[in-house]
Amino acid sequence: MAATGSVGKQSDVYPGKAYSPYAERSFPSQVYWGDTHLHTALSMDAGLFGARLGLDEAYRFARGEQVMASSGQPAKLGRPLDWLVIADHSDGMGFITDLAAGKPGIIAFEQGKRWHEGLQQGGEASANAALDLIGTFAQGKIDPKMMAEYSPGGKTYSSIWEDVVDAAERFNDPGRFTTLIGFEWTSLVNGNNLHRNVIFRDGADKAGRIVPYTTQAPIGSTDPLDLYAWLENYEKSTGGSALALAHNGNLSNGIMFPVDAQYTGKAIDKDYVRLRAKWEPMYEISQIKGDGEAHPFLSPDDAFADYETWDVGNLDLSEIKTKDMLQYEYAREALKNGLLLEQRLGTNPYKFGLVGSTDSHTALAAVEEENFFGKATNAEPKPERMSHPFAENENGAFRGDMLTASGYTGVWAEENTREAIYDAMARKEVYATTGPRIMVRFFGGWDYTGEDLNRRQPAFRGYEKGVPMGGDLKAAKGKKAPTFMVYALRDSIGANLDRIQIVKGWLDKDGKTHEKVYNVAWSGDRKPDNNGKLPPVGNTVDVKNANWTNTIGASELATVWQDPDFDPAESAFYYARVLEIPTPRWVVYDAFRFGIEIPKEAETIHQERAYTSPIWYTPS
Amino acid sequence: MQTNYRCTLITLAVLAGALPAMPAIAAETGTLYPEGTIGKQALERILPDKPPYSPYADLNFPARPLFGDTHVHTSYSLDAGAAGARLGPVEALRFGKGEEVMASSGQRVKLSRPLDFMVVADHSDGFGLFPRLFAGDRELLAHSTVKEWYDLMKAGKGAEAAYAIVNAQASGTIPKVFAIEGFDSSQPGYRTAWHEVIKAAEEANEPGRFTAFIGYEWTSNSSGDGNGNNLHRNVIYRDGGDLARQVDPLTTAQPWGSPDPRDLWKRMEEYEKKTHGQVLAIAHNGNLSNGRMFPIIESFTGKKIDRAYAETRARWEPLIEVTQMKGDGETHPFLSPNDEFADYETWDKGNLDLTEAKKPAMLEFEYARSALKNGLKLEKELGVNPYKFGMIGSTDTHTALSTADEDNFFGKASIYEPNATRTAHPYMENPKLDLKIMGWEQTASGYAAVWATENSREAIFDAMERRESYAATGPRMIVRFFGGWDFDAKDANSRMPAKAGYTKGVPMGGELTKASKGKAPTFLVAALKDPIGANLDRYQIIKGWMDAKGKLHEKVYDVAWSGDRKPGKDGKLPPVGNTVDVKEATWTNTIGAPELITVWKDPDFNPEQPAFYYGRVIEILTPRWTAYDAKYFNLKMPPEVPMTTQERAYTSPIWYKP
Repeated sequence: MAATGSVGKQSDVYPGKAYSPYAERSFPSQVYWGDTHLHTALSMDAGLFGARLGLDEAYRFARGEQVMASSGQPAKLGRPLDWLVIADHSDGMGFITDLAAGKPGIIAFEQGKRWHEGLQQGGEASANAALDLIGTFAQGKIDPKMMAEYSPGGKTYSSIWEDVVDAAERFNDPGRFTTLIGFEWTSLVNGNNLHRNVIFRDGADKAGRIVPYTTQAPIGSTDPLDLYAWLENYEKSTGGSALALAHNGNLSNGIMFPVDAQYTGKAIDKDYVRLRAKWEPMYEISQIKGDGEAHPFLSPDDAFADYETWDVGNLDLSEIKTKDMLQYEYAREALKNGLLLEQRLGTNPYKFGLVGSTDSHTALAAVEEENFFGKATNAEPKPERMSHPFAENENGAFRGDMLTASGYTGVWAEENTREAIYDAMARKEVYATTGPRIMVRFFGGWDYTGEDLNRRQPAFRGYEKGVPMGGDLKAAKGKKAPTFMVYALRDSIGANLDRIQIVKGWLDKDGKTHEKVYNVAWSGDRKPDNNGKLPPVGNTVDVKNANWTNTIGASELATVWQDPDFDPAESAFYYARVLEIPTPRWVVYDAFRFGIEIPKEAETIHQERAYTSPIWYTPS
Repeated sequence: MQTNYRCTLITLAVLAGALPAMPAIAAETGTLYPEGTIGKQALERILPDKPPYSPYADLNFPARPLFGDTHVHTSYSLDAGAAGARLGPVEALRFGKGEEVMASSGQRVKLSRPLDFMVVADHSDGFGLFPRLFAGDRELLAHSTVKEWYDLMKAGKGAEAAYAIVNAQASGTIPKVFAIEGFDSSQPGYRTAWHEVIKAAEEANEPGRFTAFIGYEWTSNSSGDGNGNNLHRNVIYRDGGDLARQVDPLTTAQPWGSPDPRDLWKRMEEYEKKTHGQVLAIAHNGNLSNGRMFPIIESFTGKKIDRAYAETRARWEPLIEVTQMKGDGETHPFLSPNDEFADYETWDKGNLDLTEAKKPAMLEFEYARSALKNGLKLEKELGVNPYKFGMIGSTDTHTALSTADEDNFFGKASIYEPNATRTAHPYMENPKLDLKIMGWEQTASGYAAVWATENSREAIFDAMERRESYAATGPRMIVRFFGGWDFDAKDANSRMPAKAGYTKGVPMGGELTKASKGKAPTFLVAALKDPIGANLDRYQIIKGWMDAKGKLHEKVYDVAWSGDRKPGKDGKLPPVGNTVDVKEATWTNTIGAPELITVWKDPDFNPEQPAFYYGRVIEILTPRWTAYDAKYFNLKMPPEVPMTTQERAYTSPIWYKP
């Protein structure tokens, strides 16, 4: 520099930003892909369904290594994930693995000995033992002394949690692969799903000082308010940070996103909305047990609302679904009701970001359509899996072919570390996909113009002039209507894109909520009709050969869109939905590889998608 | 039932894992156990023909290409240091891993994406002399010429100093002290520097994540019949420092070194003999060799190359660096007049230091395509093809910054790091001959893509040895190229063409033999655009062959392209179009295709004629780095400066041998 002179001090000649467009960025440049919801053999149900893979295998698989699945077939991801949350059920965590191993603390009990021996015998005896165990557990008739060891307070339970924390510590590799410590709090109220996953920002020094919260009284509770109290206590006593996120509102039979009263009968009050908003910054919108963005009954004008819909009943099909329940189950409706509750109570309890995750019970976060390892080990690849129901009783069935190969979470973090990924989750700079690794940018502001998009790196202007997904738009004086910059790049080895839509929800002056789906960018030269409907993108899927071609659709889409119907007095939210062109569902790959027929009722072709976290507008 | 089923499967799987060689044995002997304890049927059950359900499991072929740079200079190279480079091997490797660093010119720089591997290949001549010179090493400054260079640098005339040093090197007028310290690789000072570079590679090497190879550049500029003619080779070690330290690098000045490639090959042989390690060499910039890089007449002897030359060269040089910052070397419009894409980043004014102007007759011995053709002829004459090489691209950067992206180009040397005058400044000139290469002529190119089974020194080196690699001028396209006799359209009807590719044919770098009667070779080709880059215009196959009379031919076939364009009567495909906004230095992917795949059969095949085929994948038009400079610095470029480019990838060839 000074030494050779001719090289010169470049800072003098540089107009502000670095020449290198990748240097000196003060915003996240990369999406980190992961799964917030993976079960291993430590989860009682996973173990019973045959999962034999534990924590180490789950991490190894997620970071891209080949493992032998519990069903004895090799499995490997198409691409590694960047991070993983193992979230085993806190109730009875590790019991099943110890039962299978015949640990002395278990076979000392009559039930334990009997089930262990049944499992050992294999075949029908094993299945009977499993069924007996499930039944006994559901009826609450498990020997309380035996279970005490597998509940908070038990030494064994502490040591199992130590193993969980230890595995996370061993596999956490900052910059390369992040493990976030977590568990699932599996509140089930009369078969209605109120499950939450808990994710820690912290390592062993803090998360190792507690054991997970459970749902079984007297120690645990099924009431989310008690979970919030537990989280509060965790942060207070350890100085750490944790958050919770719910999933499968679709199986809650109307109690996931309450508006008037909690399932306990208690009114939705200021405390509830404040606490829920505080502890639940995200919602798992898509997973193997169906997609939870919208329901065709709630969104009749949305041609894409009926996607991987599970609406037969609650989680265990003990109660049939009725239409009035749906409004309290789906994300879009909850986002709308959140605006209402905010007006009523001052806080929006449903101001959540969106993530997708697997909820796989195989220890394999494998939800690529061509590489789907099912919900549980009994649904790992085999010819019968699509015709074998996931659940079935007199109320109906969740058919085997309905399992959804979904989803993953994209996180816009500055680096691949626990802290950076957690913080991005906390600020909702995340989005859900149903599996494909579509890259999506979504910014809201008052001054975006087409010129801002005239570059390959829209994020510079995006962050400069507005807020990213998960952010808040404050009313701005003299501004007409908010503008949104949205940019999507297809999965590099996946399918082209059909369109980008912006979904708006708002609350009118009369306290009524509304929604509208806008097509904002699409492939080819299709023209929307007078109602704004865009012709379909076409279809190249070859079901027989389980293939498609990227000869339709676009490799990337981008636009700046201004809300044409904006009313500054009305609160609103906006999120982007990016649709791929049609591709084969996993059943098509099964049929092709196993040489079998696909059941008539099964969907074979679908349009995978990404849902960004919303950007909210609040009138001043 | 279920548990039972599972246990059976697990047991079988364990068995299968333990007995990988069984099918071959079984096939040879009929049954493994004549008593029939395990019959053929049982084996079929254990080792089913069917691949695993998971399409990514048990792959016995490379699943993704690794991108890297085999040619990075740091301040340890004399010319780099003299031209302002202050970053050494440690910083070069950190940058390659994706970290942000401060460039020598005082600006922050970062790659869009990390690389997978890197070879820091500093010049063996004068290894580490620059850091010593710059520190004012008294031993060196005792010589008046060295002192002059030192003073030039201290006066801020680094470029002049660099030019003087390169010239002195090229013309053999290097001061003695400089020569001894710089050329005698057994000198303690020299060894210290070399061992520092080895140490940097050892410390940065991280199997599975980032591979740092040990290597150096052997920088021969004397071709026996003249000076300034580029015969450079990069030497790459498969091994770690424990072996690499055992043999000193070869320099080019006698009596310590030699400019003759035969002596380099000898040194490589010595190394392997002594250490049982492995090395290979990669030549580059035939375009600046003035007809000496791919000789038929060896410049050092004036005689036709012999079988020994051919054998030795083929043994040690499996690859060439076909594209880099000093121009692209695939082919030349003079050699390939029918190829409308031949004139790409052409540097054909003269030799390396412009002391001799280029003559058209030299070109044949400079470019990859003509060398591949001459290789067929030489194979017929000598029994060995000396030019049976694969392709890679690399940067040859002298900034320690491996930047080959158009929007992030940090130039050939530190004085050409982004600044408002770098395009208008001559890169090299010789007023006596009225020759000049301008700064804007630098090429933001390229990278090496290697189909290795894992990211390690061993796996990448082995893939290089088998030529399973391709060159990219910067974009990270994924390119597959398989040759076989039985590919059909169905093989392209899959998202994983590699499965059919490896099962039914050979990958890039391979060889096809034994044409069955009436059959013509078929090629399964697929290309995926750079995930964050431009769409693709077309996939071409370039064929070279020798007819019965020994005449060499070439032909370019368009085999897959975007949209519904139809080739014209001349067989030429209409251009893909252009979306580049030069002023804004941007483009849109509204034309072109994100991926191309097809099976192509040679319509002109003659089983008696030896041939080679390689793939060339061409992107849609994008802004050249000069457009990014113009926008960033608000410059008006002269009309002769190209502002758009069509970047590309070149695969290693597949040869057909009658």
